[in-house]
Amino acid sequence: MNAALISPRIFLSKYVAAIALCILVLFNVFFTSHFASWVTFTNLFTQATKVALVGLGMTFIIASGGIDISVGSAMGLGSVIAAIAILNGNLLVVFVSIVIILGFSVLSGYLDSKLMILPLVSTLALMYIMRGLARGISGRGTVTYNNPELTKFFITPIGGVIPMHFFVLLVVAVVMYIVVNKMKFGFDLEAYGNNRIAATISGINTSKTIMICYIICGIMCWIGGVLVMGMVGSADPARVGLDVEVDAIAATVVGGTPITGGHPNIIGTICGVFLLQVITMMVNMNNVAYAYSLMIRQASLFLLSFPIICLRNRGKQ
Amino acid sequence: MEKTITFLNENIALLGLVVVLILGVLINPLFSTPENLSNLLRTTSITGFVAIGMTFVILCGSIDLSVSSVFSLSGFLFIYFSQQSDMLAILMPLVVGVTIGVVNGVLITRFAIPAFIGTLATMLFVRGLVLVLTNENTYKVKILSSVLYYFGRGDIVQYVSFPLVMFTIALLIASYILRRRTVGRAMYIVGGNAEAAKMMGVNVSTTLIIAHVISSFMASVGGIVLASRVGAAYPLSGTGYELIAIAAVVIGGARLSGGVGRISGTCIGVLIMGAFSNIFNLQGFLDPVWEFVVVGTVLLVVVVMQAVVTNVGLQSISNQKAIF
Repeated sequence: MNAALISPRIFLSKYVAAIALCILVLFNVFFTSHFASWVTFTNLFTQATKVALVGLGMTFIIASGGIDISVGSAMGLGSVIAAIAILNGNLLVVFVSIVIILGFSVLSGYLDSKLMILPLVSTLALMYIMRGLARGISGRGTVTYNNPELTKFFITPIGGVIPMHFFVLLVVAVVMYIVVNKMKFGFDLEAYGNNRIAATISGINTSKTIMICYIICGIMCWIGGVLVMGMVGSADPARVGLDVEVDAIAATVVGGTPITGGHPNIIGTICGVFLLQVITMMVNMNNVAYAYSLMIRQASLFLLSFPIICLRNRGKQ
Repeated sequence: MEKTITFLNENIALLGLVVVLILGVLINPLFSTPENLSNLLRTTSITGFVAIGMTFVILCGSIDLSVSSVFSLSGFLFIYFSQQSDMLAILMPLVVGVTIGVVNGVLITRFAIPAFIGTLATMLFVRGLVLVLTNENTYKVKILSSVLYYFGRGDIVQYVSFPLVMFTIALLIASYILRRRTVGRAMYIVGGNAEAAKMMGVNVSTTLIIAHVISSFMASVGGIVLASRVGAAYPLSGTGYELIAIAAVVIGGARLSGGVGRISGTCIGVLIMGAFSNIFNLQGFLDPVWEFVVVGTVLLVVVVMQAVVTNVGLQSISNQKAIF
């Protein structure tokens, strides 16, 4: 907006994740052998896209001051139903899966906005329900379908070089960015996240705003789940989307969206997801045990969320 | 009408427990055998320790996600130090638990990091630490001394296990602290309204730190009991316990926003959760994989009922205000 208003402090607090990501990538380019290669780039996208999509959905919900810990289970349920549909050869039924996921999103939106139940509890219940449904429906095991054309569609890079995940993420991110920064919904959401009572008094339809957040998040989970399913040609009800909620929340917070609600930082979330993913890759490529990556990720979560909060608090004073 | 609402509001969990127990007896007569009940209570007390600690944190309006990892870490430390001496095996996990609690508390108060994020970070860090320490493998020792063995498997008299006795004592102490001690009363005030608490002269930071220390401490006690019962440390043990504990506390009638809740409620919540999974293993109509669905549905129904009752209660209060 107004260039004079952008002080270094605001700039920093918005782009801490982006700066950290740049530093980390530069570090790896110099110190990790074979890091700067096309394979690494495509791997990064194929691995990070599901978390990035869910993280973007989570950004909306966190910006509204809520939280959704059922996202991983929603991915699992969506992918299992979709896989069963493909197994039975009826591709139309695939859309049943998205309808079911949307039904759960509407339910959690209703519980949050109308019944005023803290979303941590209501989505905890939904997390159990959806994970259980996924395992129940699948009949205790991985649903594997045999559809070479479909699998080929998912794993073949577009134009022979760039994986389709890249384009999916690009399209979603651009749309989200426009929704947040250019559309009325984005302003409503930010207003609601900053001050619920003020937003309600000034005539914003708050329950509609929250409902849309949950629906967007549901769609993102579904896409993420189907991408995971498409890559391997099967859906494991117990594994698909497991612990994704932790990564998504961490990425959103590192990305600079305040956990108490406020401006949804789309670019920040994407940088946050890639930051966490690059840390994992760095640890893997340097032959260090996976467990250390958990610890390094924690340290980065703390080190990055601390300056963000400090900068923001100083601004308020 | 109002009396019924108040009664329902305060005893909804107890009602739920009675229904669950009746359901258990109807589904399988084996449910009410002393062996099964004793087993059920032993298992329940392990999650019960975690839930007691979680009650303190939730009362303060905070949350502790790191309990699952602390649980796992203390189990490992217990098994590891059991080879040196019995004393160390019991003390080390507790000391480490308290330390992590202090770290959590300081992160939340001094560094002003939201509790959800601060303890999420600790959760990941400690889980990573456990994976590193155990080499991502189950850590076993040849033999545990009889004293250490007693923690998880001992019976005081037949059917009354040692974990159950410890759990009962912990319940009593926790209840005493929350009802009678200044610290306990301060927790209700901090959870109810932190600003008002500050103005009343309550030290909010110290209260929060103490709550987090208690939470981590209780999680380590739970970890010790499980490790002693199994006789080995599994690096992923305790995964998801933070959610079970939160669910139990909420079913027991506490508000996640803080300031409302009782230890007796938590006890009932834990028993409901424990009895449910026990009943699920005893019945034959539904595949065990549906357990999650039922647990989730129960949690959802309880929460919705609480919300409805609260909303009705709030409305009746505001109506009164309008009349007077």
